[in-house]
Amino acid sequence: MTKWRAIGLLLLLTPLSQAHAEPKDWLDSGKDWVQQLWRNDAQQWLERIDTAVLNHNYKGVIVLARGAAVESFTVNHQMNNGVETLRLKTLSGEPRELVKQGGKFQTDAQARKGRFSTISAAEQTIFSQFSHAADNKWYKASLAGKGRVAGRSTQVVDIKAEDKLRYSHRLWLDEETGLPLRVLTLDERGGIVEQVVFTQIAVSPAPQQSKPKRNAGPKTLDNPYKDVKGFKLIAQENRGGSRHYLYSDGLSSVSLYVEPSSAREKAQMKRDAVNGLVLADGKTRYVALGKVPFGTLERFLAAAGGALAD
Amino acid sequence: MKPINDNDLEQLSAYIDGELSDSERRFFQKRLANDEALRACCERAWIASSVLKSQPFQLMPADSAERICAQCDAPSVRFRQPLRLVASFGALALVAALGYQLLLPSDTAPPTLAQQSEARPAAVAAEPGPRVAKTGKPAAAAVSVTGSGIRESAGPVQDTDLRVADGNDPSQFELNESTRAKSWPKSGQDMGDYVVRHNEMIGANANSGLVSYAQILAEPEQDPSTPAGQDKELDTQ
Repeated sequence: MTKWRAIGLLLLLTPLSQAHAEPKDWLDSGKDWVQQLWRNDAQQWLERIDTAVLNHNYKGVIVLARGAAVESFTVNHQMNNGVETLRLKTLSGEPRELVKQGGKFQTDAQARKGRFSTISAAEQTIFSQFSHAADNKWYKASLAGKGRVAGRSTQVVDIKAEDKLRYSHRLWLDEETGLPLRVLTLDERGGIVEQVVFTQIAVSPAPQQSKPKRNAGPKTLDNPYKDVKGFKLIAQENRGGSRHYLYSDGLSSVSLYVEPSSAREKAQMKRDAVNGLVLADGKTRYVALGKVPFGTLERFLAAAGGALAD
Repeated sequence: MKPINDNDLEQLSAYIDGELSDSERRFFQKRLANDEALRACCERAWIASSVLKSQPFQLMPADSAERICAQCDAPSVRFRQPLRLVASFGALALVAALGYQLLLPSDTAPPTLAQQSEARPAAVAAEPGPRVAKTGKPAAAAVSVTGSGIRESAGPVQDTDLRVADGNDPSQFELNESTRAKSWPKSGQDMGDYVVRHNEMIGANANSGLVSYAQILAEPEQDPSTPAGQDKELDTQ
């Protein structure tokens, strides 16, 4: 009996002595353990996305369906020394190509004109927006069963919008790697607004493994107009008198164009998954567009018009 | 999982058209979540619906009523006089109902956005106005749809179309998404320039990743006549 008591005492003292030696590590691991207990399973799946993209090379074919339009592309994603290179080529319609590398991307059309686009969020991977979705208060993530895409088993994760100003998303994440293999954008009635899906994919580990940088997303700029719930101004530019403001809630984006115009008009447009509203008062024309409900665009126009009235 | 029957298809059709009540819709969505076959059927129906909705809208010919009447008046051995009259009136009523629906002005839409009651400039007068903006871009009215849901219609209906410019208060827009989706046909040739700029800026700033890059490629190239000042590296801040 004494022997068993001695063994028990030894077992109790062993972790305590280790904790005494490295109190900070012990505290950190304890915190991690508690956090793991309370973490949402969906969040764990979403947080795998960036790691999966950074640590895997893949080639495949994706199909993009928006409204009645369906396009297919080849995708070649390579990681070299932590630098992401994405090459997209169209398989339908006009032959076109886009290359994204590090902090820049360029289409063949841009290359002919000698221009390129700089990516301000260069350290973000091509699926980073979903990786941070669990922290986005305008959406709620939850698990939604299993699936199979491009011959691979997947975990389905729902990212549901918390209000009617934005669309919801459903992701099919590769069970083995965590890569998104299918992404649906759903309207408030559950109708499919847009979907992108891998029909073929070959995945291999990247030569160097790296950890994703935790990034809060694009920097928020000062909005000259009234804020629309959940949307922050993240970029702006001026082209030939047409001011372009880009707002984002982390997943959905809305563009607002403000430009001089002598026309008086009020109109509604739709192009595949993108909705648009136009409002012109004879001096200024406002165009709001994005993959959001029309009600959201109305609020952007009202916000811009309100600032004008001020 | 049970086989899909006619009732399921009817429910599916009502669901896609937004005609289910909230409770029915929630129930149907739960079924969709659990029934793979029904979900696949729903996706097929949705694609078919999208394709149909994308077809160009065409008005009935202006002389359709006369042609129907002419057909009705034609000698027939099958119909006796009273039946022929009923058929004629029925056809006329149908044409009139269709015409009424098509020409129904937008100001019959339900009121919306009550909270946006801020003072705004007076309503813009109904006038065709210049259709091209000063910026050189085609004005959106040229590609826009109207409250009646008719685009580039012919004949007298076109005058009705111009009544779209009957105000500049966004609070007058409808909020009912399902109504919008059905009553406004797709358009947007001239929206392309805006969409390209939108996608490029998203690709550069908004973490939208693969989808936005694919969209950049999917959109047609921008007009080569774009002013030089516009054709430079994005000056994002």
